Amino acid sequence: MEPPMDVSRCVQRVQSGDLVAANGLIDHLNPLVRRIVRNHLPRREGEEDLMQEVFVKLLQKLEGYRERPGIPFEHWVSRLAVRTCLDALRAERSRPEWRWADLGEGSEQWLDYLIHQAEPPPGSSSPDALAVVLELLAHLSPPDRLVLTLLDLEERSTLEISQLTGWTRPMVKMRAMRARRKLRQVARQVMKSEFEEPT
Amino acid sequence: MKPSPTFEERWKRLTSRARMSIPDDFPELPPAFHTRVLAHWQAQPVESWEDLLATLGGRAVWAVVAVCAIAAGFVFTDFHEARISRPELEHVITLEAWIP
Repeated sequence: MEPPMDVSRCVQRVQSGDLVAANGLIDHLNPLVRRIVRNHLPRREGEEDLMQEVFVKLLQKLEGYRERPGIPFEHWVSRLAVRTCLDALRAERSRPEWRWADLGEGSEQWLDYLIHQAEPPPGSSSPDALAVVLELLAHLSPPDRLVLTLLDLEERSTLEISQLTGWTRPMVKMRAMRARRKLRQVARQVMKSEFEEPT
Repeated sequence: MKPSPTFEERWKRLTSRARMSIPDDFPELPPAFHTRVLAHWQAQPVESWEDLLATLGGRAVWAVVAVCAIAAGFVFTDFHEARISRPELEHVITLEAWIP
């Protein structure tokens, strides 16, 4: 079994230009960065493309990184990854149109449940639930999408979100509240468009 | 009778179910990935503060000179412009308004 990596030492080696250490650091941070990128990935961007952007930015900014007691290096990385994802979401120009007809049957049930409090959702349809959640989130503005993903999908606290984004905690709460309101409007619009369209 | 859940509660339920489907596998990165990242890093090293100041310093000086020139122009034209002084203007308004 391999001994745990000395991150601090590795960072110092990368700062002095050690490419082997840089490779090791990338491997070490792969799960952390992949998880963040996966949850905040714009529609038309590949997971590894955005990861590459995060790692390049990370290595470029590493020179200015100074270790602070009690704050792990991973916090700095998470913050950088979240901000890079937010930039990527902002760069995504168009938001796709979404119609009721695009949904699968399970997703329709979830959306119906969300808007009309219809039947309780079926027990084994978590992929459908995820599909609805991602579609709804994709129709929000990048900061709104980010805050709801961090809060509701990743289950992070408002304090963590505040540290990751640089927003104050009241701002995080306010943004989340507004984002949920917008989400409700988006879901209603989808339902409305369904009933307005000629069959 | 149990009250029906609010939109927020239904959204929470939806997201908690959705979480079950978020993939939690972390495949190893292909070797080419490291090469690409390192190549980009080496190709675009981040500029140091000194380099940045040296680059922007000249432009900043020209910008300040331009702003000063424009401000001086405004002061010059303002100085030579004939104006009604405030007390006189107030006096006229007061007389017009209150003394028929």
